[in-house]
Amino acid sequence: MSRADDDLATAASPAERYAAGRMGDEEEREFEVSMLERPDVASEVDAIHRMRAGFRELQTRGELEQLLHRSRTRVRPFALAAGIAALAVGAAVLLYSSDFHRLPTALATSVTDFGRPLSPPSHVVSFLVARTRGGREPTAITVSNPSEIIALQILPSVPSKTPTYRITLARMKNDTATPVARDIEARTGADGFVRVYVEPANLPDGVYRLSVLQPASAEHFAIRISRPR
Amino acid sequence: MSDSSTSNPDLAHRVLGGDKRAEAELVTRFQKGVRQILMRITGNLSLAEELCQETFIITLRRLRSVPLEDPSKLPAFIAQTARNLAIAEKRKERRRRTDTDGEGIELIADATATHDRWADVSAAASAVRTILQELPSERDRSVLIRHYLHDEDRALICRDLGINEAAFNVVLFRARKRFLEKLARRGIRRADLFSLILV
Repeated sequence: MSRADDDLATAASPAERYAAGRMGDEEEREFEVSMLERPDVASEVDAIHRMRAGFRELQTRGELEQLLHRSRTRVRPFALAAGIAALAVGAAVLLYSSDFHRLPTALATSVTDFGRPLSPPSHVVSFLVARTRGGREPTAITVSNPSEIIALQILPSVPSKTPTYRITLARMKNDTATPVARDIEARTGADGFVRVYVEPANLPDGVYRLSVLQPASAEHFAIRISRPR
Repeated sequence: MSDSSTSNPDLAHRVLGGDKRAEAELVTRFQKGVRQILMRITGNLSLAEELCQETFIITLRRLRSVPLEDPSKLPAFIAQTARNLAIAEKRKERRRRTDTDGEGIELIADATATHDRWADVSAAASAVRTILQELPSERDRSVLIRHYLHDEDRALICRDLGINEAAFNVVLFRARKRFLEKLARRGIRRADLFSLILV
């Protein structure tokens, strides 16, 4: 890309924000007038509208997940060797120096994964996590016993076409999400719920984001962990 | 602008004087933007095309009979006309949905418009498929899907995928560029449907 292209490419496009409906009323009206005066801006918005239609169509046809996860074909041997070497270095870096390695096992698909004795059932407390019409209030979880484990029964809005979901947990502070647990893979049960367990011992009071990730989508739930004073 | 030699106030003045070429020029100049406003509000390509014609019919009728208070605001006047039409149509659509059954709606659907729309969507899907196939990074493919399909907040996508906003914008920029190249190669250039209204 040329330098001018570089500048254009790294700047946020107002056309993207307009097409996504992320402008305020006044800004939207100003943008529309400028779009009428500048056909190049209108062309950009047109491309975005068509791309969105294209993505929706591929999703309807059920092609998206395969396109997202396809592996590259015709990889040259040299590139393959270089890739493996890079992966090995990356993995080593990840294992020995990353934050990910230091993250606690605060999320699990089974209580036994926490590796500590438990006296069931009194130490497992269940909560339902689901999207509701009511609004965006976090699901309130009160941890009354320091050694208890929380079972979350998650009801994803969109059923997964693949058998598993990736579940992540991050603490929200000042609109920033900081991962607090290693990601896990979880499956949907026969009842449609995805069950995961949370070890709250290392999680201070606050709001957390529980993300349920599918290959082509993500759903986020807010939970608030608190302890009685 | 298609003809930068004529200013917007001049154009409005010429339309008021009955200049048919000025009317044609006005449509050519603004139709691209009007279509996007309508598309953005209705989310329906064929309806947007229909309302685009209506926008210009209303605009020209008004300009032929009564001068604009501030002719320099011609684009704002046209944009507002388009918005009003689209919003009114959405309200009507909501009412139709509750008043009529599916069969009734099917009967009033325009078969030609449906076919055009299908061809457009099919071409767009094909171009998007090629872009996704060409992108080597799953992360970049995920950026596009989460942004264009799921309308997720860009800050959230950046956080989840561990990229900064500049990298995010580059992915979108390249995809848009490639998308337009693909459509151009397929010869998708919408015919000017609106010159018909001036005859």
